[in-house]
Amino acid sequence: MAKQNLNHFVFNSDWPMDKIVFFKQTTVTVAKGATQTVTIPHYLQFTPLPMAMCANSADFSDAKSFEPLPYDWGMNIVKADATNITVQIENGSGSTITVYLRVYGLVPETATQEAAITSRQSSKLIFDTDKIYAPLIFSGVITEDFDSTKVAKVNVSHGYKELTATAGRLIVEHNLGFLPYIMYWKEDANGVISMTGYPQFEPGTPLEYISFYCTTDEVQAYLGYSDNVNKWHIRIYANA
Amino acid sequence: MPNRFQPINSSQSTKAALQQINNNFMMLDAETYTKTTTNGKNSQMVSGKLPNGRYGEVFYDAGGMPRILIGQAPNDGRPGIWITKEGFNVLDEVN
Repeated sequence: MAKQNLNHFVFNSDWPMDKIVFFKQTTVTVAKGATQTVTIPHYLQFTPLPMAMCANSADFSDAKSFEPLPYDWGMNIVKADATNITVQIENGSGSTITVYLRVYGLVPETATQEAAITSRQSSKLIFDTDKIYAPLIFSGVITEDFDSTKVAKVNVSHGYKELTATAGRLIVEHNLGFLPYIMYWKEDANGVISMTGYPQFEPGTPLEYISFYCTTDEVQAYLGYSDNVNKWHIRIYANA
Repeated sequence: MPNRFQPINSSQSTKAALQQINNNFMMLDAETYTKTTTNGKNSQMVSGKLPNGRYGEVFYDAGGMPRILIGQAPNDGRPGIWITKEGFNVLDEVN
């Protein structure tokens, strides 16, 4: 397949896209200074890669994503296990808030089971070309190794690749000519998959560390040192 | 072949009329390979053999830009669906 500028496409069937196998919208009230946990059973035969967004407005015009340390209020835990997707909302604002929550589940690379259609759609359209469907160019499950000289390398210039490896450093050559979009999740020894952010150094909390170095030609992930992270799920999308 | 049929004028010579009939049938014959649907001014969609020699269906936006290709890729004929963002010609972007 010859090179194409993937940033010029709304949809391109030469590349796969993420598949949403779970969706749920709910509303929760969180008192000021309180922390509220929302647990939603996903009924899947595998643990999905969880995603969530929250908002103060019912139309999600002020939507927020996951924040490890929310300044005002926000979701500081988004995780999934074999049964549930769990979101924790911390309200550090000065008043009680109503939080509109949307929770998604994506198919992990390791899943082989079938999934039913999503229980509920965010609109009546499953496919809507007014939206952009970002091509997925890489999907990997990397088991951490403390040795950063142990490198896993893959080239996705001519097509989507999946990689399962044990490494201290991941190099994905993409040659897109622009910076891609990256998402990542940690998976612990118990199979719990969580969205994660910057390192947490508070006493008693596990130390997690992953960092990315991106250019218009390649992505490097340094998996570094972690206390309890077993695997990283890393996905790269071609949309600037 | 709406909008392209040339009616034969009763005052035409036999030679001119035959030429007119042949021209109309040539256009009809071409539809066997490529079906172009217009709104009377611009192409709205093309179905069949495309200018690049591959087969598929192309849809145009209101500005006349080809934006959706369902069919064979120009380079190697692999089947697919491609939709470009506004301003990009899908026939140029897919290869």
